[in-house]
Amino acid sequence: MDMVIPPGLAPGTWQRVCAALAVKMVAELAFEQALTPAPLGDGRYRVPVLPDVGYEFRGRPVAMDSWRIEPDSLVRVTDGGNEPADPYRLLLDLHRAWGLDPAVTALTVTELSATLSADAWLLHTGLPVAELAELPHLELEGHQTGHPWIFANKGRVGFSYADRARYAPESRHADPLHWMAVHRDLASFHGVPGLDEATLRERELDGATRQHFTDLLTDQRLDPAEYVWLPVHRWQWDEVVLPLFAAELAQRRIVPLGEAPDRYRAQQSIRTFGNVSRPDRFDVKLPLSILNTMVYRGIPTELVHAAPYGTTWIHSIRDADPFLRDECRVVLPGEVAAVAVRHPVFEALPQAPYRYRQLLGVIWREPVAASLDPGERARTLAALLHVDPAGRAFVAELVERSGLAPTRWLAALFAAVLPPLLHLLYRYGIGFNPHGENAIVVYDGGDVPVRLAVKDFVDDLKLLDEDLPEYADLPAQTLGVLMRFGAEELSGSIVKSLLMCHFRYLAPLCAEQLGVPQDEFWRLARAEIVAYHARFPELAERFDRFDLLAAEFPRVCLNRERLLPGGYHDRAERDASFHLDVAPVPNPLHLPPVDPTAGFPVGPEGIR
Amino acid sequence: MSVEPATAPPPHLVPEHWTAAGRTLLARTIAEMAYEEMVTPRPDGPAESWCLDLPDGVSYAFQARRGAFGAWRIRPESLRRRAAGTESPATDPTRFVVDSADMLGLTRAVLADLIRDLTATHAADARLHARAIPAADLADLSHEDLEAHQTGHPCMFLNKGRLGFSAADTARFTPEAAGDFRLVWLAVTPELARFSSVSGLDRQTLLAGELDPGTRAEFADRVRDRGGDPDAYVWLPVHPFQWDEVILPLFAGQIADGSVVYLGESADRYRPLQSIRTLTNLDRPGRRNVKVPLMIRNTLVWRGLSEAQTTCAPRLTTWLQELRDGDAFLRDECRVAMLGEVASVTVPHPTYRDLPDAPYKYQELLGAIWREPVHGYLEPGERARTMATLLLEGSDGRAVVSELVDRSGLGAREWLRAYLGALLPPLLHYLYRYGASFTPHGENVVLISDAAERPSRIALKDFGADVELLPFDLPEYARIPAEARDRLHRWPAGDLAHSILSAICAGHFRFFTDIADRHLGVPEREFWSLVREPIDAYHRRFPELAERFAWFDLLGPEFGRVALNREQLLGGGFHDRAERDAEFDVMYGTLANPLHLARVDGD
Repeated sequence: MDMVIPPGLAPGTWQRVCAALAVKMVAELAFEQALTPAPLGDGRYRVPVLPDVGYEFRGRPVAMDSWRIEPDSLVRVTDGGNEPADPYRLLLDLHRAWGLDPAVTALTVTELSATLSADAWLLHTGLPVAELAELPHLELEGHQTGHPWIFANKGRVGFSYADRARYAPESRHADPLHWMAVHRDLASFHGVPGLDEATLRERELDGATRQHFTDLLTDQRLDPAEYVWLPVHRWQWDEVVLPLFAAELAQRRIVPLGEAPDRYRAQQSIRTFGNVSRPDRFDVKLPLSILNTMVYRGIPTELVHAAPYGTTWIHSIRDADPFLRDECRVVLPGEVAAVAVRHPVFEALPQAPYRYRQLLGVIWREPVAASLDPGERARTLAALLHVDPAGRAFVAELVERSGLAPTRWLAALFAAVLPPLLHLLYRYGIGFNPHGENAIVVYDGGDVPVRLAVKDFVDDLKLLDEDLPEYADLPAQTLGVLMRFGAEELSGSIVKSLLMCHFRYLAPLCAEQLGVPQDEFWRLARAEIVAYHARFPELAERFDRFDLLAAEFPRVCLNRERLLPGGYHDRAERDASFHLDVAPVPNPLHLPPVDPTAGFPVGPEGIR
Repeated sequence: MSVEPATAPPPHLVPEHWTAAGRTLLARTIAEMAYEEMVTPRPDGPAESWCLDLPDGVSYAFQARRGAFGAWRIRPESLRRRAAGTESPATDPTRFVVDSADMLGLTRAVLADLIRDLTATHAADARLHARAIPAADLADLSHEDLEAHQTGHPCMFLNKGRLGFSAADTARFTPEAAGDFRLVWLAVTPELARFSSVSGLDRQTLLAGELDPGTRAEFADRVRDRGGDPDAYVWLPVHPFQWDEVILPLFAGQIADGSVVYLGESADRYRPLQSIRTLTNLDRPGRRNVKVPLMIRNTLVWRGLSEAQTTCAPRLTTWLQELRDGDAFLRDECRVAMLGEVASVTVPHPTYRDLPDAPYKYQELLGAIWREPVHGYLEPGERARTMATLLLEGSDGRAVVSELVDRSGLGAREWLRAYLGALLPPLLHYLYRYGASFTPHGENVVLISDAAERPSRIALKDFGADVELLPFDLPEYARIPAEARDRLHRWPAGDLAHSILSAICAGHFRFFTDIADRHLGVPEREFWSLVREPIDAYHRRFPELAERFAWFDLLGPEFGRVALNREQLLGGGFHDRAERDAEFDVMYGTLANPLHLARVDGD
């Protein structure tokens, strides 16, 4: 094990990431209305935390009740004077002020530490955006900084230092995957039509490796036909499979096969891997029993079962819809095959904490790269929020490379991203969770956004809790597995993931670095939605139900949920909901009613 | 930690070892649950046949003999599971726990946690089974090598859970893995670290004894490189697991600003003793044992090093050793060896220090205690083995104690008299005469045999963590250094008596009587009479302490049953307490005291 001290752990770097994280904590807790900045004049604000402790900064309010805070301006003010804000001290102040659960605060300290260490490494190894713009998709993911809203966003509870240095996306390691054979008593294979188990193996493993794995089984007098093969993350093998499936190993119901030659790189989600040796082979999504940004990162066994069936359904919809297929040309990377492995004891305990029921399995997903046309380039939506160590935004670099005026480039972005999501929602009642890592923007050779890829079907996809005619062909295997919600919850996926979790940050960034006023940013986004409405008037009833142009949205408080008492990580239900009594968020896409006879002033053609 | 890819399962995970270990663990599980009255077997036909009825028509049938304290001695190979009209051999403790979960009232969160601990224990037992050797070979092993064959806490069936260890960690850092590893050293600014030691042992002297000059020079350069003064900084060893899992992640800010400096690994190889966090030096056995914090949860508690106990360990050592040196009975007759905790370092975490109500595991992250190894106290020809060894049986089915008795040339009863005469008087004297109790369970008591393999005396260890006092100040406490006196746990005399009654009688003899009966041919009634002998002899020898005999009442008719498994099955809530030892052990019901009834022959 490499015991060298991480190079990012140096005084200057550490202070800088601490300052940045403290700023993020204040800004996001202000958005979540847990803190209330009061103007001091001259662009300065004061946030009282305790009777004798406050925080002061220079900054400005922006759309959606959000805040931009100048990085080095945040100070902790006490009777004893001012000191630079520190995230640990801030957490302790909040702990005192709000009477937080000491166990939750203590765990949050560990997540802050892990996040800061990763941030220090990212800053230390950060590249100028001009270089980032040249990187392939997978390598670019290794430079991204994580969830923009959750402040303890790289906690990865369960990873040691050595684990982070090897398995975190920013480690930029490319490692072989470990494979194992699991007896069909415990494991089942599922594939889309045309992709059976043998075909999958032939596609993913070369002949010599397949022979070697087969020999390993027959050498132990085991019948290879009785076993399903799947890859497993090394960490999961060591921390979960060997310890918790020891009986199955002893009984040879699980047999280790060793490594296959291809090397894989972790994507931002940590548990999804891209094949760097053979980019045409599938991406692999594997359970990792670490706690990160609120949940344990296993894959619930019932979702693994359903993934290929959900894929078949989604693809049949896309393939039959000319708008999605020919105009949007939306890429929906199929979760084409899966192996579900049940733990014989834990799976029989439905009330046990959910993390025990998602220990082992795999989903194979089509790589985005395979769907690209020549010259096209894919980058996560999240990459657009990236700012390099010199302070330059990635979006500014792309706009400059495109040669387009910033507003035209943004209009192209909205035209690429919004219509397919709107169409899937309005026309088919399908809510994706298009956060910055699931949504991938496809650019043409000139770095102009042209279309969207959106992934993570079974884990994050939501349907309405009533039976739309469009659900008639839903495969039986997905029933009871895909999440069903009311209309507000479905549109809420787009509101939360795209508006609150991405555009809320992109708008001020564009104002600061591209000179696009935030009102203009939101007007361009609205124009794309209005254009869609005009194109499909027959869906008017659904526009009203989902209502993305409503005056306000429920406020989501991810960080406050995180700090609530009660051990969120031991719940039986991963997605149990919280209720905080907070005011709604004003929707910057909303326009006050105007005289309907006057018509809407700007249509999509008006800005092109 | 990272793991190299395997193409074969670990060698102990094969049906032979898994099944054998499972059968024994199942027998222990039922026996301890029945002892703590969590389950109630009923007679099932002929004598020694029992049946335990569980929900949903499931039952477990087995053969068992009963012993003092209501102990259950279940014959593992007799275990059968009955369900739905069929009966089959029972070898799966996890199945049993799931079968009994509703009757035990376990929440599913606790049950899941318990299954995790049980699986880890089962795997460790399988590893031990795979490494088993005959009793005669066990008796030949060095103290360190013998430790690697011990089976863990006898009273707790989840005794090797080690939550936090991965499979690779388990293969490297557990006593039964019998491996070795090197320690990481850190230097910490004196503003954060605190060094304590017995008088006459300063930091430089300690380090000169523990590190070679070349290593010290190299480490000093590392401190200078980070802008620190190597003589002012406090140096300490860190377990490699703790370094990777806890220190690098949680002290990242201190590493960044140079208040914690990574020095490198030292050259000597270490191996854990049974307590896992106490490490013994394999290359230089004369160097001190080091006790270091490990953020794993094992047998009920997280295994950090509490700041209070670590800081006062050297002062407590001074007191206990001075008592021994100034007391002719302890010094010349008992010749008890007190393995001194001669120096310690504590390093609080700057954030958690300001969060005093955080769960205790966060307050015990970094520190070290240096302890004298038993080797330094042995005279030529003497051998040291932990008392837990007496519960071991070899792969040949023979007990180690049978081998030891044979080697001594003594009869079984003479050997037992020698053993009990070595064990009890020093413990009684510390308790009665000085009001100090230890936790003399099988791992903390080291039995020393003379050159003829006759038990002659004991060594005691683990003072900082386990020494406890009466709630009022005896005159004998006057010489305890004030800081240590204020931090020691204080319990009523009846609770301190548990150091003998629970730790030794119910915690060790309850199991040893079975061994003595089966392997030495000494029936249980007779054994308890043998135990009474040194106690009665002590009482006659020191009549001036009669008032204190009454306080502790070791010969009273009954005492409380310590119910560690009940405590464990209460659930995870207590793991988040700020105070690890907020209360004395969980008690459930009372036990008839076999010492009360024992007839003393020849009196």
